[in-house]
Amino acid sequence: MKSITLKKLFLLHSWVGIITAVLLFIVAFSGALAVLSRPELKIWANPELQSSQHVASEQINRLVNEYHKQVPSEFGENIHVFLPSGHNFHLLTLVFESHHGDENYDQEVARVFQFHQDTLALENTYYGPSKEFYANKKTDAPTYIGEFHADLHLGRPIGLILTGFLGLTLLVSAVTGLFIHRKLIKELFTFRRDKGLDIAVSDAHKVIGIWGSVFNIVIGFTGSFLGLATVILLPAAAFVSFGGDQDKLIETFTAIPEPVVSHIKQPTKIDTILEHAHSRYPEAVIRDVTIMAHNDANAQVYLRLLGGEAVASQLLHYKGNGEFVQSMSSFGDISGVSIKVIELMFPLHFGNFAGVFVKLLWVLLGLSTALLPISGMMMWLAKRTRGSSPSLSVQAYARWNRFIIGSCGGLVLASFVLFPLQVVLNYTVIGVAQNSFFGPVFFYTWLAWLLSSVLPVGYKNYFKLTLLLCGASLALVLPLNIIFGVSNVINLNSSLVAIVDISFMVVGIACIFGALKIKNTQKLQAEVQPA
Amino acid sequence: MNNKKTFTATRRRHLIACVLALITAVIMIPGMTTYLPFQMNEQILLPIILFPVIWTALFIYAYLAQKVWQPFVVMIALCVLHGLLSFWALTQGQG
Amino acid sequence: MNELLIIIAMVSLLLMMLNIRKNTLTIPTKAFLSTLLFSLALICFMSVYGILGGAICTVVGAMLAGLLTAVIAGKAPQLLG
Repeated sequence: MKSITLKKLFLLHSWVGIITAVLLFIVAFSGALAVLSRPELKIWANPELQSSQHVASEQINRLVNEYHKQVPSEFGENIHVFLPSGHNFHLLTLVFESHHGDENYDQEVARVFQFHQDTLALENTYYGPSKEFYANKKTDAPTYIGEFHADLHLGRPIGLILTGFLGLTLLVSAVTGLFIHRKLIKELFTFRRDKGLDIAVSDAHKVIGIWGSVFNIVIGFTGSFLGLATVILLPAAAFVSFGGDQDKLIETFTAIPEPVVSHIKQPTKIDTILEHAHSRYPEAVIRDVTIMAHNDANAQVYLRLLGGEAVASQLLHYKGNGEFVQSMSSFGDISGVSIKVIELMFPLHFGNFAGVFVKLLWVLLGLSTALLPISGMMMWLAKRTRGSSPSLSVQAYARWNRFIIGSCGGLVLASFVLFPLQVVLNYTVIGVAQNSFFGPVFFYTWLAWLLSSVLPVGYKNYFKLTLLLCGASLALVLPLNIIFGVSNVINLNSSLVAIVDISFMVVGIACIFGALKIKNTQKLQAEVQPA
Repeated sequence: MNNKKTFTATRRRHLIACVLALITAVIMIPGMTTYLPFQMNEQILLPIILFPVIWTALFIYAYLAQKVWQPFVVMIALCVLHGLLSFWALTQGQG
Repeated sequence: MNELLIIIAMVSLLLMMLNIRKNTLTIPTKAFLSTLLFSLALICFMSVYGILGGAICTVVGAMLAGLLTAVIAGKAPQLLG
């Protein structure tokens, strides 16, 4: 490759990297945390889910029959059962929906009943527009972080567009980075941590870039697709065939055909269907069940499954009498290769197709993706302080470093603070009322830490303090859970909670230990690398 | 590194890469649905899958091309071609 | 059993990376050993996660193993061409 082409690629890589560095760190770090948000951290965050995530099939069948009798007939059109698996709601949730509204509403309206999965006691009811119910469901710390990763809580479509474009820029960075690194094979294992910070950071950037290149390309590709699909891609694709009507396109491809109600009574065997699905796919998790024309001879039942032998999530179709019809993509009965590729986008991005071990792989590689822009930024800054006439002054270099620590470290701190907050909220605030705490605590913590970066503190001390506070936040979780939590490491009501608490403690102690290893510096000037 | 020697017409390249590449990639999606020789599912889903690849290629090309008019002409040509294909398909559908 | 297979697979991948890193072996020997170890990891992961899931896990596991080997062990003292 010509040297001028390499120069251009290098510059392009630098520009894209510098412009997107902080945002990319934010999305990558929150994404690494979000991998574990469902179901592991969601179960940890919700006491109702901690004892068991399973409800006997017969009980589900009984509840559906019992509560179907209590709702007007139009609400039997579609019945959704959201199982307490840790992927949806924190309670067993029955949603009876009328697509055409009722005497009070012209829009899709729902009557909802939520039950504690252990006692099956009715905990919540709701009657009103379906959209409102789904929009205002109870959230928790890990769900909040997961949603932040998806759209930065900027709302849709702006948030989705931004994260989608970050996926595209990650693709550009990964591709250009591979081309400009000429000694890929020779420097596969080059990491010289005892040669000074500059060299260690440079080697780290290259090593993470090489080994994580395929992962970063996949994440960038799938992330851009997931972010931009509903906002740009589907409307564009629908332009010619469906006159730009995205809803019509989605309906055509994914519509589950409405059954013709025969008015012949035949019990819908939900328990038989659930048992059959469990036995057919023992490793998979049933997330939700949709029943159409319940207790009619033409009833149809759809189960959404995640995990098991299939990498992508799948939809199982049954007749009401329990007869298995087919297994299909979660998007519906669509043939072709493209749908298989699109199906794979979700598990490849989220890493949620095969249990905790695979998720840990995704978390570690995701954290390495987050370190890439930071190390790149540090290399760029360090380069500009070198030489006889550096383009970056001592003060500017220190300010940049404080800004990176304030923005990126602040995000880490804001995320970690949510976990002890969750424990306290579980003890003090019930149900949906918890939702109003996460946003303010998260964003005000982040903002406060970012604003503190303007203080004339040595950036090494600032980084040390950031690490200490992050470590302290996580280390607080275990003792708080012992004091306030229903399940903890002492009573071992839930092994998952105990493992998560211990993990938080280990990571917290590691952060504190790392912070204590950083030497205090007295003067600001002493922190600038010698030219 | 001297940016002026590495890139010519830097600002125009920024505009082409950041704006025109996106417009081109988006216009190509409906245009591609008119000529891909597959069934309807594939005709619609394949362009969606290819979008990130197309955009990345156009973005990088905007900077790597020797002369700034080259990516400009290529992208305009792609826009016009796919725009016309979409227009004809729409009018044929209505007629 | 699944846990054991996963451990075997990851250890194989780490050994593969250490083998690639080693500079006292010739390239054909490295290639042969690496292929053997990668295949072992692939078989183990496929036994646990199925064909597609196993293939994905093996590739991703290899990436992580390489990264960890580089960060912990660094470059071998002398690298033969």
